[in-house]
Amino acid sequence: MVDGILAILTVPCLLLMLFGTMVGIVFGAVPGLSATMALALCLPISYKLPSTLSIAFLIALYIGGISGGLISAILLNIPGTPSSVATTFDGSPMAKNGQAGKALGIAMFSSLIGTLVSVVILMFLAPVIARAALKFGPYEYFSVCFFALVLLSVLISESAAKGLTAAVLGLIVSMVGVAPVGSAIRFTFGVKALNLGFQNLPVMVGMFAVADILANSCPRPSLDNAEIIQDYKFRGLGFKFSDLAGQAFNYIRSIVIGISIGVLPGVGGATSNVIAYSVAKQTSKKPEKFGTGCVDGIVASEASNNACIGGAMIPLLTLGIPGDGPTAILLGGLTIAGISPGPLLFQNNASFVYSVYTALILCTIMMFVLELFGMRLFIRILKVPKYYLYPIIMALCTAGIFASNNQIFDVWSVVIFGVIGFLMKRYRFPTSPFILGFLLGGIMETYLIRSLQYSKGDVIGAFAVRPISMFFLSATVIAVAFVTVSRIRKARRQKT
Amino acid sequence: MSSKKKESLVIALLLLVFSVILFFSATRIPVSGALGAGADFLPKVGSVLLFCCACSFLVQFVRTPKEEGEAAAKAPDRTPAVRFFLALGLLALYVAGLQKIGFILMTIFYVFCQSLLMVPKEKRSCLVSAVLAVVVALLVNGIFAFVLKLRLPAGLLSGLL
Repeated sequence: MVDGILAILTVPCLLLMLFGTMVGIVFGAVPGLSATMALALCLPISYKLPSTLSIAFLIALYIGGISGGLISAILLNIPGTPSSVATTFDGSPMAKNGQAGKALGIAMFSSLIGTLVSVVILMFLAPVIARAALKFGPYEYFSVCFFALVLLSVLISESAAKGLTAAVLGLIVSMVGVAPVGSAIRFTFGVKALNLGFQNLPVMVGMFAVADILANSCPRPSLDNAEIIQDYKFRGLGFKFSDLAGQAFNYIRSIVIGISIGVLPGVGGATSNVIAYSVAKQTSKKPEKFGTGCVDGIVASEASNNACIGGAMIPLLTLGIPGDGPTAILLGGLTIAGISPGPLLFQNNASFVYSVYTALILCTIMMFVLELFGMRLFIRILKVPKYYLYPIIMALCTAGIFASNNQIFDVWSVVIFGVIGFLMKRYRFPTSPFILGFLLGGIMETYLIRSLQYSKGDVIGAFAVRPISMFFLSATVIAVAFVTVSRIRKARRQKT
Repeated sequence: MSSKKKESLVIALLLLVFSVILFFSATRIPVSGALGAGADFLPKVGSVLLFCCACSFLVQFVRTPKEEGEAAAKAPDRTPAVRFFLALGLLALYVAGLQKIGFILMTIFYVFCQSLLMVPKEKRSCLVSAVLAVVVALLVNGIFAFVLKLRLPAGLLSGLL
């Protein structure tokens, strides 16, 4: 254990981790770039490094990249990663209310707490949690995704019909291209570029950034709202600890959700922040304040999405199963370094495992310190008037999206989804269920079809006998019923 | 008819038509093997769900009372269509010219035009927009090409870059 920790506590390693965290934050924060791109670009650098240094460097990029997404989510209303989608719900309104420093401070602090707690839990409970994760089969995976999607759709807007319609439309868009089961080509209309479907980043950038650009181009320009009046003078973390009064249970709940969902490969990143946010909103005594710049929303989203980091490391280290794009590249880095993840890793290479734990903790602290010192610089971005900022953002997004795949079709996708996002906002359809439906559509289809195949026709019976899937499906029904009844009562009260 | 009622009706009709088209497209998806549910399953489910959503909007249309609809009609939300299509046209031109004309030149064009479209009259300056456009284009291209080693389309400047 000591050897593993000391292997990280060397000057070259610490400097490399600092550099990696900084690069990761930049990639996570800039619209059009992503944590996956940062890892992919820097992976060749890690070939020449000793195994411990290379993994520490990749972990630094991963943590920086996941956390950096909160900066663009709050300041620009563009989530840097799918795990930052829910941060835009309250982070961006808080910044628009002139409290960008407070929003960033709370988000960074929540990221710190979420990651540190999840890493500590990883250290002590990784094998136990991995065994529990193995109990998740296709029924359970489908149920979790279904729960997340329906909950968000119903809670996020005043009209459940519009939320559910947006989610279904997102699911339909995810079906374009090669089917995950059967490999049939669907809805491409002869366009070869559509064979691989739409990519995640162009859809997110289009629905958020381009839709915003189009929306802000429409009204006649005026000086009134060109620049958001910000409070640039703030001390310390940007917020007072009294702002977090009453958030302890929100933190604990969101971190548990983040770790539990983060353990599930392919599902964790996009769903945990949405589930945590939705649960926080539903259990709040003042749900109407969510979406207006509410502290609870930022805490729930950032604590859970960063708790996913520890959760995602569990199947990676214990089973060799990557949870998402960045962890797939981490797995590649481990393989190149000659490390074989799996149950025997803890027995045969315990010092390496403790190096990973140490790197995770140190990189989290570095991420927090870097973002804290950079905070005052970041919010200066809001000093740039929107009429100059938006075209710059578009140029960056175009470059990033084209560079990631060298496909001009991806850039066209950004414009197409920008128009869709604009129309959805114009007619008051929430965009986040659409995005979540799109992100989860492929996984949901795969697991649903597998469930149908395993159940041999007895679908309801198969889902009903599995306690985990029944829990999530029942929770979905209860949540929908609860929200529907609350809204009907509220509408009746307003009429009288 | 009030705007809110009209909106529900238009959305319902569009979704109805789309769901029907989707269903018939789904029936044409080739299904391979004897694995039970295949590639056409979820598209069909999706089209049925969309049809149900369309029905819910139709119900909304029927149930929206006239008074509520008229109150909504007093606050019209007019989007200047001309400015929207100008912005969209600029974006489309930007992407269309990206590969042939090149990232630097098209970004200069786009940033210049888009900023002029959005800048209030009192602050409008062609010189500022032009300088910003050139700096942004060169800076972004430089970062991607020389720092990240990711090539962006050179287009007409391919001999120079």
